[in-house]
Amino acid sequence: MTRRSRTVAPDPEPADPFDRADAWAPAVGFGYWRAVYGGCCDALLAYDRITATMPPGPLRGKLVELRPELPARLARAARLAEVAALLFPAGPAREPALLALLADDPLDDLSRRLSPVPPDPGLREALLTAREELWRVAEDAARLAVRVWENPTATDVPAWLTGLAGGVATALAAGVPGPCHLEDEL
Amino acid sequence: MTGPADLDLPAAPSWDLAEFGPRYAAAEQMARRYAAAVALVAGHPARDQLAAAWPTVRIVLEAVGRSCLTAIRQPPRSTRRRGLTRRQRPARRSRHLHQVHLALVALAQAVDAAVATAVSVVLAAEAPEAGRRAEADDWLTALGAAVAQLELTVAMLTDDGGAASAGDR
Repeated sequence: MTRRSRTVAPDPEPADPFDRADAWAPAVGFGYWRAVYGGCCDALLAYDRITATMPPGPLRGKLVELRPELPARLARAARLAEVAALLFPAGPAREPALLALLADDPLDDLSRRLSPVPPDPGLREALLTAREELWRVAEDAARLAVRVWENPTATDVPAWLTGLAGGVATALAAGVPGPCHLEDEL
Repeated sequence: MTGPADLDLPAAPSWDLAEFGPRYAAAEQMARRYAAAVALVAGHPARDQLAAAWPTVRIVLEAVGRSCLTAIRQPPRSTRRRGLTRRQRPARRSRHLHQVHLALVALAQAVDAAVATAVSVVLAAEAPEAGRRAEADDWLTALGAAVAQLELTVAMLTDDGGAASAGDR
């Protein structure tokens, strides 16, 4: 009896959960924080659309090459959004219902004893910066795409690409806003 | 979100708390936020300080629940809200409401400090700068003051609850 040797195919590499931007994963509620994180995902989707619509060439190749570096930035934004949704479930402002209850005090308006915005030592700012940096990269890619469409014979494409790579590296730097915009370099 | 059993929160009063119901729910939600802040800084030295104040938060919640239960046995408060002279004492139910509100304010301040500490710790872990660490220490100091205020609130709620119970008898 001949036994057919069976080879088990190796498991496929687990995909990076942030490779495909999904505003609903991780779950960060329905409020302000999800909207901001959704903006981060939109930036990645915009980048993908720009890449998909570009004509074949070195610029498109470079954009595709830079793409795997962006999920790390999205993952950081997701982490910040998760922490924010956990600690500030009502969003960056104080719960209006709580303030209304305290204002209904029989002796005094106690809502004045609490600040309208709970103290936040930089979580919201860090998340907004992450969104801004992702959008900066997507917008730079869009500008490059428009220039290539308008001027297919351009010879200074490598210089543009260097600028885009610089923007992506800036976006990957944790919590530090980019020193300059790609447009400034061109 | 973690369930009440996991957090060891006191059981919520099962009676209809009338106007005190949303107040108790707000206090419970703040206790959950505090617990989330403690869980977030696991493995950090700040966790011990945050965790040390958790029993006080729990006791406040328990005292608020007792105060709510005592208050709803009193006749409904007058529709007249403010403007009492210094010689006039508010009705007992209104006094309870005021004390529950004071407890909510103290609880909110403690939770604010705990949450800000947790945020500072999380951000410091991402970008380890000396400023961030100092910020976390500042918030821990603020937490100490807020917890001291919470302890005063517990004493106030407990004293008045006992007095109100004695008055009922």
